[in-house]
Amino acid sequence: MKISYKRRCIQVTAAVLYNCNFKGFADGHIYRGDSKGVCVPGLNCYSCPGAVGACPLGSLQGGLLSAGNRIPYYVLGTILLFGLMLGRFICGFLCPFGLVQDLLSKIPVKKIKKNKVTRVLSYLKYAILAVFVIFIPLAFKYPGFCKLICPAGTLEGGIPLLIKNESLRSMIGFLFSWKCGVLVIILVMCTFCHRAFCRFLCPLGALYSLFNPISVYGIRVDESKCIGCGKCVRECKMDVKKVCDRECIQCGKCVEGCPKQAIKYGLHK
Amino acid sequence: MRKLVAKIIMLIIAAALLTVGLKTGGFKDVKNRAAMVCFECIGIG
Repeated sequence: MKISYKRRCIQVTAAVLYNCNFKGFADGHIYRGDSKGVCVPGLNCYSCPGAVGACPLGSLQGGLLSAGNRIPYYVLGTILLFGLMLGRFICGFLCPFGLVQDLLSKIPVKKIKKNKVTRVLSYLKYAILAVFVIFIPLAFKYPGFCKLICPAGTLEGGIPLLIKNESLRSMIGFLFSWKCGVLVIILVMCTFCHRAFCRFLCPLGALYSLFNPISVYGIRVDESKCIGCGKCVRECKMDVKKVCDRECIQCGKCVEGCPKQAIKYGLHK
Repeated sequence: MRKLVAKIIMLIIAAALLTVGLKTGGFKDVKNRAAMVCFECIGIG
């Protein structure tokens, strides 16, 4: 079975598992059970009517909002553990918004290929992490990324809840228009540029990228088989300089493309 | 070897953070927050 097919199956399974409160989609109310205390690895809004787990980014910002009282050790430990175990394998396989982006990139339009500009733009997500996820919640006491940028919140939470819930619909204002505008821009970007949100904007990807080269599980290169042809980097649509650097989402394109089968998934020593 | 040591140290830190977090009510904090509709997240807050 091809890796790309296996990956799609895992992505769909993860998205369904994170959002298996199907009743919520029908009645417009969110799930309130105990599993909401567990962070899922990918970007998945906990205000999605189907969500049965918590979003790590939303939980981190929420924890930082009340950091005067208590440091969010639990969320920090969870993110550190996810990052150390899997790195950006999570972006490639376990993120529902990653799946949305992959499906958008299937639309047959002329794509913007990776270049020097996209490589520079890939640093933007670290600025977004620092400003919107850490600084704004600490200084201004609101979840900057969730409130002003997060497209998953609008797509998975806002739109389904507002369709079904009349009382929430009456509260729509400028912020919702802003968030819908941001969502549309991001979806259009992802249509023309592969995984644009992951590459340029996602602060969760930025966090996981720090662990990518040292994650326990992931893609590894067998140096004894590698002939240095560079096909892996040329075939990759992300802004990688080498296999499994900070930009690699471990999608497996390089594993399929390597002429010497020198790249494999496995445990890093 | 250095990578392995760094990995082990960070795994220990992650486990310690999780343990401290669980003992100080981190799970409950996350659950309470995630069990309410986040108005900022959905764009009406």
